[in-house]
Amino acid sequence: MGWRREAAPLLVLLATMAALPFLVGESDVYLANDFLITALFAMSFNLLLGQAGMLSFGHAAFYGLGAYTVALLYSKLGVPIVPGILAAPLVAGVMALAIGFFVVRLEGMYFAMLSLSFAQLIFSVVSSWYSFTGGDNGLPVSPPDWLLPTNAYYYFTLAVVSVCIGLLFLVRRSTFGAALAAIRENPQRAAYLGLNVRVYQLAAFVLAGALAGVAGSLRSPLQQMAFPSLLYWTQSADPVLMTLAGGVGAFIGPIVGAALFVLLTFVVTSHTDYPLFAFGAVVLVLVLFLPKGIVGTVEGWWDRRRAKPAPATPPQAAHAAAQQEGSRP
Amino acid sequence: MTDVLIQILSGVSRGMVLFIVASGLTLIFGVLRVANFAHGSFYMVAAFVTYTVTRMAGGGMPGFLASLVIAPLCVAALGAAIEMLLLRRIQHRDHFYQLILTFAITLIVADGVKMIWGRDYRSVPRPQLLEGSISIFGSPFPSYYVLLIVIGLVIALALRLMLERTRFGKTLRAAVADGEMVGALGVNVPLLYTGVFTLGAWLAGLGGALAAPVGSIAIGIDNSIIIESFAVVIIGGVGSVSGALVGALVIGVLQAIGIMVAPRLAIAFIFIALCAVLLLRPQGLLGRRA
Amino acid sequence: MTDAVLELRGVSKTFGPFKAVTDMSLSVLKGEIHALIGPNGAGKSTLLNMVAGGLPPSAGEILFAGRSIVGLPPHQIVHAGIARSFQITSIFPKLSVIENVRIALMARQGRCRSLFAPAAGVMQDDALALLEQVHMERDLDRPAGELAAGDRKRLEFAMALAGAPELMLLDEPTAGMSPEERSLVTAIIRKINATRGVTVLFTEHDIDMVFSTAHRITVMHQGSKLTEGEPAAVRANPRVRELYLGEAAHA
Repeated sequence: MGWRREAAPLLVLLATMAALPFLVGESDVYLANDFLITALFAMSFNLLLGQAGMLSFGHAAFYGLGAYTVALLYSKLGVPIVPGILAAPLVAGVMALAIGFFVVRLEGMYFAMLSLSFAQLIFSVVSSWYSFTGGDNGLPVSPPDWLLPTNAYYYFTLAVVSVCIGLLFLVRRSTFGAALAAIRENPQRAAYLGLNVRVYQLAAFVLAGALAGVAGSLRSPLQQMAFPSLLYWTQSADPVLMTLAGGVGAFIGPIVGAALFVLLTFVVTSHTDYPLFAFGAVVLVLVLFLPKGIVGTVEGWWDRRRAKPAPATPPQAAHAAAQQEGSRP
Repeated sequence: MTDVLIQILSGVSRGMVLFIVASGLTLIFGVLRVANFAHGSFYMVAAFVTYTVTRMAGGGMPGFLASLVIAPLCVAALGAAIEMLLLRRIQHRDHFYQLILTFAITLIVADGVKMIWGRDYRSVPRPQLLEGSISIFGSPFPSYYVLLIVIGLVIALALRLMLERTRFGKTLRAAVADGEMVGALGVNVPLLYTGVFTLGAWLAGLGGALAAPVGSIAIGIDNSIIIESFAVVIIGGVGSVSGALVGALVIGVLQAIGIMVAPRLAIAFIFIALCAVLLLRPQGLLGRRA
Repeated sequence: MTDAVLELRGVSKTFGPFKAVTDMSLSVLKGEIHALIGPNGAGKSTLLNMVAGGLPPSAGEILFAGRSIVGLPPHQIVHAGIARSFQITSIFPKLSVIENVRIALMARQGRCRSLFAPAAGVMQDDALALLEQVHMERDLDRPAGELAAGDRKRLEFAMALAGAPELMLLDEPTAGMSPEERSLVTAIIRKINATRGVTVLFTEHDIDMVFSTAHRITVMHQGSKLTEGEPAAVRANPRVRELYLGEAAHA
């Protein structure tokens, strides 16, 4: 697939998000901020699932660690949140390195279960260590004055998230990304071509963990609080569901999934007391009828539509042409 | 010293409930190869049904016995419906989708329970006969816990007989060992899947009904029981009922001792044990290497 | 034995009570095409798998270019200079044909480590050259999984070649191919052997192909070596005739 086709929607989205505070009210900007953070969390997860084929069920551990890094630095040492946000990916990344060292030894469902177990282990420590983390009461975070206005923090988030997603975009198309794709497709073959499969998987795990840490570090200043529920296993399910909803195979899939879920939460919680019911129903429909996700389904539909009216160019050749175009720097 | 013994015994009784729930999960995991997140929902629904039944029947022994029959059956019917109407449609897709489907069910059920029973904590009284306690070396031990241990052992024995003596049980074991072969042998696979899923749901329901008079019933018990049950299944070995018994007792006792040693970190002990098993013996203590 | 590129000394492999390979010794000389033949279950694939690092031997020593490679993981053995193909073709089904070969080249040359350098077009020319060698330069952008069985084997062959290996382990390289494809692959094996000096160790069921291609042949039976020698000598060996050619004649 040509890089233009993947980059174009991202740039359109960036422009839209940048213009948003001029178009909508403050509460909607807060919602958009929520969306940006959630989108980064889901995107970092899909580096594992979509690119490397690793279904992690413990990704919230790194999200929560990011949130707590900012909160702990702020409340224990008085460190302002911006240095905290810089420290978060380091803390989450180091923890991902330690956990990843063990989890990449396992495959498939066992990998999912081990990542879930480690995440629950961290959750149980964070939620019960009252003297350090505040336990169930959480830890307060206050942004400095210049970041207090909703719009200011929104643009700050937009900048950080854009950089991180740009990074993920480069990684997906890099030689490292190509190696991950090969490992996803056929790990045995990849090893017999000379790739050290576990090292690549570990690198992906650390990178994904660090970026989830960034997302989490943006979350606690937004809510002005870090809660243990950010690390609970149901939180780990969120990026899985969003990625599935948007489309595992498409780069912007998790972003679309995150948008769907944030909007759905907003709409549903303002009309009923039962948001989970609505989520469950939506996910059920997606699993049963749209296994490729929203983006995957739309792309398939678009390709078929484009292929039909122009039988003069066989799809093969059109695809080849697209490839040629894409491979030119 | 007797304190420790009593604590271990209550860990065993808690482990027995966990075993009943996890034995269903391990059979489903072993045969359908689905990590069934909805298993915790089955447990929770059964606990709430138990609450309703005992309230309607007035809280005595008849109500208790009726709930032990009715709640697991309700949940078994729910399980059968989920398998036949939903899971079967995506049977041939990647297991990832089946896992997500069962997760979607947990969300729907969680809010469904809130709609029907509300958000308040509920409790189910123990029947008078089981309210007291017996004496073990002079220390009291709740009679109800004794009942849990007895029922757990009966279920373990019944499952063992079923797996070894009945046709269904033999097919089930074969399916755990080699899923593809069973299809090739002319077994009615859809029927087997529905049967196993229904049986598994029934066991989760029985566990929920038995646990209802211990502690309180609340939203969220589905999330905690499912994680503990997964831990049991992994520690014991996927598809192994005896493994589930061992795993459940390990976790029950570990937690009971953990509460004495470091109350707040009791749950952490489970995950340390789980990580250790996954790393050293990923097929589980009694599981076979795939 | 000074010019043996691969040397096995007393290699055994047991799976529980089952002995797959027993006390095998084998020398593959530099620059030769060496065939490993024997009936099904003789232990040929197990032997190749041990050399490639997929299975640890239960006993014995495996030397490559004079250095022990026992205990090395597969990816290190690849970087030592041994490439392999599988009996059941192993490729990346969803990647395109050219991507399959490019990733093979990139992996071998250690060019997969950059997080940000774009992969598009990397080693495109080398990949094209390799695909031309196996006469697959036409289907470049098709997903590899859509190829016919014989084409997939040739693609895998090109991927094995991508590492510019010193030794190639080929497990039934022409299985499932049409006669034309067989002679094509045989010709390619001879050509890379002659022009690049690549040593080849392969297993094969097609006896004609073995005798026409191999410089030397090792016959395995029930996990042990029956005989080893040049094609004419092996052909004349009465035990081989009885065991192997006899079977083939009956079939």
